[in-house]
Amino acid sequence: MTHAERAARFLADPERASWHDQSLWFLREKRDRAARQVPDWEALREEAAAIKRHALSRLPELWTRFEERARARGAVVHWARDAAEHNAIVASLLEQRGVRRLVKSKSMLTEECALNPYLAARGIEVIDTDLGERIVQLRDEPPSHIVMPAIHLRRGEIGELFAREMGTPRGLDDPAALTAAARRDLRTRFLAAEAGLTGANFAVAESGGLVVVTNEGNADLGTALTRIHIASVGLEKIVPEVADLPVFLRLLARSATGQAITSYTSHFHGPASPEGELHVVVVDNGRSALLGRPAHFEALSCIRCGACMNTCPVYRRSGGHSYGATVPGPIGSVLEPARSPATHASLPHACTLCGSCAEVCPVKIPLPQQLLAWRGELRSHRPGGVSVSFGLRALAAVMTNATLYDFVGRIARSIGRRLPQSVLGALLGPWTRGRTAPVIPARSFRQLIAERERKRG
Amino acid sequence: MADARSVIFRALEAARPASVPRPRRGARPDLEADLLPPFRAGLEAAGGEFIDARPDGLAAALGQLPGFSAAEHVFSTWREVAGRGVATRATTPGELERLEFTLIRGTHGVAESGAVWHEPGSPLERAAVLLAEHLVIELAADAIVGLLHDVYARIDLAQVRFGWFLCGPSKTADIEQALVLGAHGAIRASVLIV
Repeated sequence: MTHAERAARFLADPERASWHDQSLWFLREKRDRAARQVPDWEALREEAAAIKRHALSRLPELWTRFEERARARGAVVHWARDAAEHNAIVASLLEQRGVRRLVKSKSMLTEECALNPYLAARGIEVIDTDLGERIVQLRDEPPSHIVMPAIHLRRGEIGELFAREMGTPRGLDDPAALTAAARRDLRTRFLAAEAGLTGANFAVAESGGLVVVTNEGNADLGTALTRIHIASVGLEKIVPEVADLPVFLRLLARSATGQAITSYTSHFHGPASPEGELHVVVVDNGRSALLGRPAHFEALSCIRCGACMNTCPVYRRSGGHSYGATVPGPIGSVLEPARSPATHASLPHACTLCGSCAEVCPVKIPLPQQLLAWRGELRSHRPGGVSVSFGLRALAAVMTNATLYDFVGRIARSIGRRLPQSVLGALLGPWTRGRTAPVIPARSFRQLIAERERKRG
Repeated sequence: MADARSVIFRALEAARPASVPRPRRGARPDLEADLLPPFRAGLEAAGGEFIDARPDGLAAALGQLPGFSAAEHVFSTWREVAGRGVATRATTPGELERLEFTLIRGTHGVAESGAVWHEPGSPLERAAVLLAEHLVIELAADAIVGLLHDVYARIDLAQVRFGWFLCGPSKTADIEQALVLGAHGAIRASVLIV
């Protein structure tokens, strides 16, 4: 199924679609306010982008250094070529230690690897502890946004879900009361867990440490109450030095939610307690292949703030699930075709090339250029079928021939002006859904200019 | 797994983009001389409470926090205040579940955001920060610096097993973007300036 087909499903509920649109735009506005309060905002973006480009050109050295330092601090570093290896490593770590209950904080990488079903099939209970992720886990669906996983849902739906799963009173839909119910329910699961799994926002080569940020404190509870901490980290997450961290941390939360910083910004160097274990699983899963694509490798600079989604007119109006991918929105539309071109060929077309994503990206990834480059590379997977490709070819023929253009223009004006709105609308198809067709002018632009010149004499 | 490692490193080497030099560190803006007002504004924006304990002293400010006098379970790292209830006998983090208050000391404050750097003295202290309903952080007024960069210049992560920036209570906006304080950790967070 293409993005457009899935988006049509989302748009079948116009009230939800309009709420979703406004809700994400509200985040974009919060991001703008936060950015304006930082005098060196643009310099920070430049610096962050430059640090990432530098790091991407030094990955073997940085990871070698990280591994050496992390080991010296008492962590165990594992390497996984793909999702299957990652899942097998995590499962064997848990099985060797007899762990039956794992609490997990938000990790898009484990979503990408489909870790939860893998562990469930081995009899290991996995509880997602980020509230939004818990909600989508209970609904058995993927997150629709990388920062706000349940942004596609309304409070009433979450109330119904909690009534069924947590025994809250029917009809309860107050966010504070629902959050309190989830807090109680998850607290018992945190206390019963035997291991905690987190992602990492940053791995620091210089210190061999990991930095994890959350607002809920779930990554921290999961690792403070258990002895075994497993961190799944993508190859792109490394930064060279400790002094790079403030550059990214000042950008990350402001870009994501408009906050100056998250409630918790945790620095792990080795196991958090002397008796504990820290296992860092470093995952490739297509990242080294993306690194080798000159037109697209800069997408590996992404710090997963979600700002490109919040601002994207297509994402806001089509919902995260319409992308059918782990990471939706502009950045997802660049990353996912690299993983599976045939499956995700329609994503680079879910874009108007308006450029808004590049304006807000804290690490200045040239997303519109990358999306355009994908359209060129994925010619054989072009969506839209015969009508679109024929239409575009016909348009190209007309637009490149002045005489033909003039002739077609005359016909269109003379016929178009006689057609009633209803017929014109039908001819223009989807373009007139939600808007009226423009009134066709009597004369062309060239005729108008010529007349003006004549009048001036 | 040595095999997976070498395959990954070979792939990274083969795909290596053209070398990009390390950028120069940017010049940082100067904040106003008095760092307390922006610190306060940042903390309050994060849902935290700012209390200047300098006029009346720490004990008086603490006594005024609602529920503190009657609290049964208090974890304290402050010399002046004794722990109460479960905090006096817990040996594992899970036993601290019923904590009402946790009192800790922050080592650095960040004026730009209202965040406080804290290095837990023990795994129990770290868990206590998360499990208590009300987190109380003591911070010296002169420990507040302008930007996050200034804190990293003052701490040595080579010596710190675990450390974190704390900013306000735990929170979530995952249901219809409605901000709710108290997701999994503290529901209230106060910084007492001394």
